[in-house]
Amino acid sequence: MECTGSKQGAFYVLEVTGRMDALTSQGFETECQGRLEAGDKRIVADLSGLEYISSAGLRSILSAAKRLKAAGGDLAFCGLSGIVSEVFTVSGFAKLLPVYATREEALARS
Amino acid sequence: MPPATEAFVPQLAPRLRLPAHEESLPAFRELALAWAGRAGLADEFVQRLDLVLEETLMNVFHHAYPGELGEVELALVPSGQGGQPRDGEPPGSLSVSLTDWGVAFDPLAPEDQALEEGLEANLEAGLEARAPGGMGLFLLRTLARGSYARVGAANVLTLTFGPESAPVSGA
Repeated sequence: MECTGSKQGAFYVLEVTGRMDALTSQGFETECQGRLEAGDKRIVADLSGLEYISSAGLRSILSAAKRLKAAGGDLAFCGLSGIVSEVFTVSGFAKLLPVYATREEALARS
Repeated sequence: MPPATEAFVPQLAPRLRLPAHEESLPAFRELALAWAGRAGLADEFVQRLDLVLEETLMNVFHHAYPGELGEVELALVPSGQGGQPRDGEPPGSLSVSLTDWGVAFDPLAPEDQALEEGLEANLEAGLEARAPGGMGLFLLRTLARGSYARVGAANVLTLTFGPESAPVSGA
């Protein structure tokens, strides 16, 4: 799993690529924590380059989302497909967290 | 020198037994994906195999052997003679078994109904109330088609992936 990011208006967009599995997904939480410490509280995670996610990835996402929310920010998602979309749906994460089809939509929210 | 073609036929082990800890995950995954490639499993089922294997193995790693390091074995379940699908079995499917010799546990059928109902309710819970545990087994039960048996001192979980393995979805 790799994260690369850039500031886009009020949001910090994090492009997540590769696999979020038991061995790698902690990196997502660490990345979000780093952004939070740098002052970015509103993060959009673009998962269009993410090939795979397991429950370990969901735990990392949940932990990051809770931390951002506690700081007055939020964590939204876009670009889900394949098994990533399926896992978000069956786990209930698609209802729990703001999920958008495209990055444009995720950035257009207030 | 053997004929060049022989060098390109992958010799895949029919089973792999390794210590039940996280470091074993990549080797199990690599072998399972190689079997899936040879079986001609479609991408969507390969992804599901990938996920179910990780969730199952992580559960064994963390819960099967409290206080000790045991072993877990992944084995290919032969699908008829000569690698051809059995009657009634669709082409492009794959069956594997996972065996451990730890605490008796059926990951497909939770004994604690209340716990499972709590987990279902948890799916709808808000961000603050949401508990992180149990998600792996929930994904496993939702996305896997298989059967469990306690054989002597072993837990044997058989999982099948392929066109018939799609769970009945409410969507």
